[in-house]
Amino acid sequence: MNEDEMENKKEAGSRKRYEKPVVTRFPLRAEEAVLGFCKSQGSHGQTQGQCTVPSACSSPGS
Amino acid sequence: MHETFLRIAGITIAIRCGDPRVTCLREGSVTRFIVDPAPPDVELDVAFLEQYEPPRGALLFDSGAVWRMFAEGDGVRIECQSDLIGAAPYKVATFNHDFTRGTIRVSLTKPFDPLEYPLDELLIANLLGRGRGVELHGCGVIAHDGRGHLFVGQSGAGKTTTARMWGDDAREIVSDDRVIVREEDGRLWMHGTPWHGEAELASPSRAPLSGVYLLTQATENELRELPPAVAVARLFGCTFPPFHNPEAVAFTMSMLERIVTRVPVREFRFTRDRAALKLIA
Repeated sequence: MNEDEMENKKEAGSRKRYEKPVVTRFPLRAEEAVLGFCKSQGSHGQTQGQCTVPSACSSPGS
Repeated sequence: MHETFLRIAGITIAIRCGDPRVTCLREGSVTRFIVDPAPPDVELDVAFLEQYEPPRGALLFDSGAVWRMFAEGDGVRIECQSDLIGAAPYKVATFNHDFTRGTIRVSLTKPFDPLEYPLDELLIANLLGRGRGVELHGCGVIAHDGRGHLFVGQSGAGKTTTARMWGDDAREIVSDDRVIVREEDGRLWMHGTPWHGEAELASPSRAPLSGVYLLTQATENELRELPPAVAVARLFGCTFPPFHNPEAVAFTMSMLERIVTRVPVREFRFTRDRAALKLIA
């Protein structure tokens, strides 16, 4: 084995092992993120969908 | 001419209601954000929408529900629609390219808040996305020592529950639903907004941001460290960036990265019991 081959072998040994990239999905609720819905004042929990009356929208979808 | 000044997260908005056919109304939590006249960052005029004319510019974004955005001149046009009022939009707002000037036309004759949701948040989202900050779906708590704790989560995650858990242990809850983070004087600040959740907590106060907690309901109370990339990704799912604007989305990501770099961002696994708050140092 010549000097170059020995150097390559040494580098390969110290190189970090390849790890295949992993895709991780995180939730993004489109209707919330785009301010696409609201919930009426006084309602509880999620009331997603169309706003019924504009003035009922002072409490946006939360 | 009736003029109102609102200040949300340090952004001053002047709203001029000069059209006698429109009665501008301010009520509820937004009244806490009314300030004395000051040099505004945004100037808005309100007028009656005599006759709806369809947009001529390209559709930039469709929320799939209550609003759509179109190109108009060098700016944009936002249309708000409600099935109860009719097929045509009841509110048409036009803004210049940087959202510092706009006109809101409304077809309603009853007293009405021209900046009502979703227009208020859309305006702020577009202003924040231009280098000013980020709005998060979260509950902002100012502790008695003055530090700001931000609890972030989507609908149903427990933001209002968290606000109620704090009770007297907090100096103030700045919002139980929407919180804005901005960098000012080299520090990250957590600002309250008028947009609240079920507990209807909304305050214009601000506090230095000391920690961010991603809400996860669990069977045991625990704080979990998160890899920075995971923290940024999870936070991004709780923001409201203007998706039609790639620069604004990129800025939002960079702002989240700044938050993750500067303050601890951890997963807060909690049992909906006040004992969980012992984990918040």
